Amino acid sequence: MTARIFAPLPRIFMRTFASPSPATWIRHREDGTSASDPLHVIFNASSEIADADGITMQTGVPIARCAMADALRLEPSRASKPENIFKNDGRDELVIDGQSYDVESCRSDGYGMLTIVLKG
Amino acid sequence: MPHVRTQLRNAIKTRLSTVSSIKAAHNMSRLLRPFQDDNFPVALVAVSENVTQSPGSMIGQQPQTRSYTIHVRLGVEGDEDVEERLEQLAVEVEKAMLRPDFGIGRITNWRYGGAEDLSPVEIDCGLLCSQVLTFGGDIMTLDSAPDTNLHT
Repeated sequence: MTARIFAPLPRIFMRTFASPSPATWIRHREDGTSASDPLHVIFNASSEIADADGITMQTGVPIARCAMADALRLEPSRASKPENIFKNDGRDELVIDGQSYDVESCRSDGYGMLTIVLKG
Repeated sequence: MPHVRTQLRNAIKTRLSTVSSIKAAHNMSRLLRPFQDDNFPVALVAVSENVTQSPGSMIGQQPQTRSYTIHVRLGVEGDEDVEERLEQLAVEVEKAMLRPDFGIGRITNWRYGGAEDLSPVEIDCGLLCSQVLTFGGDIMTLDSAPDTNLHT
């Protein structure tokens, strides 16, 4: 669980940096139904990823961040593993500023924020 | 039409996605992108080609025998009982791939070529334990039409 001293951090981050209009988080479930809800995200349409170990460099990668608690409030069944809160391979979609993105990966920073690497 | 190699690869993926214990079948290049642990078991498909030209005819009308090797990389999550789980998957994959009735015309010399050593592949989120099964088959085309199976 998040240490108490860090507990307010996600809320402060989101209040300070979140895009003014929320994104739409669409989940296509295995049974064919889908759900969609507004979700506040911090969004950078063109991030750079440098990986010194494997010597890879990617530019222009869209990355969204959100508070894990916000996401779990909408989808409580995914609480078991932070890496699986946002699902890849077209199962989840984020619509940000009218553009739809697929999820590539989801990581938790351990302090209540999720980093979602997207694909345009 | 797409290349017969594309037709074959897509047909194999469609066939593999009918195997109930495989979550999804993708192109081999899927390895370049990150996986989540509920993406497994996964099947990744690549097709390589060897062409034998029939001598004698005019360029543009030469029949070609395209020998295909189909690499099906099966990957499972975790590091326990990897061999058993991969072999169990192989049972289902071999059964599903028994006949080359993929709906893309005639494929001759259809054969199962065997399984390679268990090999870990490096992926974005660590190592994936996987094994490659190979299948083979021949498709005839004209040299001027690599997108058309001569025997449909």
